[in-house]
Amino acid sequence: MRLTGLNFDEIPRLDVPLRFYLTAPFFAVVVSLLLIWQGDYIWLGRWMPASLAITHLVAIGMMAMIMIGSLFQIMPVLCGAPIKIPPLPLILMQAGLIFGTLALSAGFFGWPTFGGSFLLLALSLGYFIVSLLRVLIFKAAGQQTRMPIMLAAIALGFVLLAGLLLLAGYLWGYYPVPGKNLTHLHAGTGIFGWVLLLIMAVSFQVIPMFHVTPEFPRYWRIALPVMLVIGLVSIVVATLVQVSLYFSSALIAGVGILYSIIGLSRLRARKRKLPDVVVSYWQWAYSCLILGCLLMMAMPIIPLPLQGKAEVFIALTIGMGFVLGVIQGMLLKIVPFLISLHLQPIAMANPNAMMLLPDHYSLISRKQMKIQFWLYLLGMVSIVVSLCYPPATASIGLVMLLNWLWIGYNILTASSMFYNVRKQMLAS
Amino acid sequence: MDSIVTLDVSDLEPPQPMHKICQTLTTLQPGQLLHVEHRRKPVPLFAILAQQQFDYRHSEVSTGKHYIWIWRQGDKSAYDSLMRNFDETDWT
Repeated sequence: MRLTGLNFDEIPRLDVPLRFYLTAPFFAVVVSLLLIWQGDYIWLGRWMPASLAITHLVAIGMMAMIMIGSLFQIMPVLCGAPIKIPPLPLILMQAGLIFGTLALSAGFFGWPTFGGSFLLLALSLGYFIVSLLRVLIFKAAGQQTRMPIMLAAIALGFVLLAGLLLLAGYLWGYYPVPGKNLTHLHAGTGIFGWVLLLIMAVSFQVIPMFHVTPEFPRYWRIALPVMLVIGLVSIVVATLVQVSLYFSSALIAGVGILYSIIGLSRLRARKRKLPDVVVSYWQWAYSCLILGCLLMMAMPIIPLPLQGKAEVFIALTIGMGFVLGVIQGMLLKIVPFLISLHLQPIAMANPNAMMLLPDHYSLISRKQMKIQFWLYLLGMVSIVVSLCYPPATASIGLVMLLNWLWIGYNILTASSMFYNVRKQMLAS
Repeated sequence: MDSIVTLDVSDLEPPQPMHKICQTLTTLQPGQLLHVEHRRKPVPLFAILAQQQFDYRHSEVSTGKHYIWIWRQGDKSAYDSLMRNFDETDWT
């Protein structure tokens, strides 16, 4: 008896994740130009139009775009069940995400585009969430991965719903929850529900898989998502009963720190201690998460005039340092892995083609990886320098621009090599 | 010619395990069975095997230790070798 009934035909074509991956650098260029243009204005607080626009361009255009693209590949591999979206709806869904995000960001600058973004994001993200949940509920196996991904998908549903309610306020003056609590709920569920839960769920599998580390202990694989969900539920309750969200945020920050320490300890225990840029990415990303979470917990002791600036620094540390760090590191593993996966059957069908199969490091070379990582680190340095010396803030945008253009170049060269090698293998 | 070819890919990083297994399978002779030791259940490999007319059995021996047996579809001699040498009760 076979455990998995997965057919190779059910693994999505390579261009499905790639089109999402290659859209992210485009959004990164927009974000970088905004950062360069706005300069030290971004430190005035996260409620400024530019800060809100940048946050959503990063959260949807970069993070969600790559995470959604990866889910198309991860679901068959980790849960044995693909997300089935036919080609045309897939194109429409991605177009909805792209134009909905751009319209949303333009709306923060006063353009009359919130109506369009409301419709486009509701339809595109709503469609994706329903498609993903349908697979998770009815088809997915691998309980330990399935449950946290399902929780992340539900959190994305909450993020979308809260975001649409906030947009309804802008559009029609409808405010079901007074004050900023709904915004905090939207942001908190986004970064710690959808993003952190998904990163956690995936890391429990990919860190041992790609870095030959011991497995995450079973009790942590269960306890960490459960504690995170308790923190998120307490945010929802605090929002509804209109009390301070500090204790919920502190609980979530505690889980973030614990998860980072466990992740770092797994990486330290890896069998082969060979230098690996992606291991360095994980280590820096976890360190950024620890720093951001410590600052979240310390918020009450930060002087009031500095709290706005501290919030922006936390957002940059967790958003760019942790989330985008993990994402750009994982792309260095996932893209070559997917290319190998799609070339392997051709090589097996024709042994003459086996020798044409490219090595992992010929798809994205070690040098390319190192340059990408150093640009990421330079981005972190530019954040700290800009915090201490705000006139240097445009440097964050400049380094981000270089970093993501390089990432786009790395993915493009690898995918172009895939199509060339595939052609040669089929002809051999 | 050995009737069982063994391959340990437990310490390799992806995509090396898949590559080594597929490379070995292209040289697998009729009557031969490939016995792989892996640290994970390689779901994408299973999809490739089914597509390339190979049959397989999988068993999680202990946490982080998986055995996979692979042979060409319809190769009765390889299948008999599997039945003779390994305990069917562990298979999933």
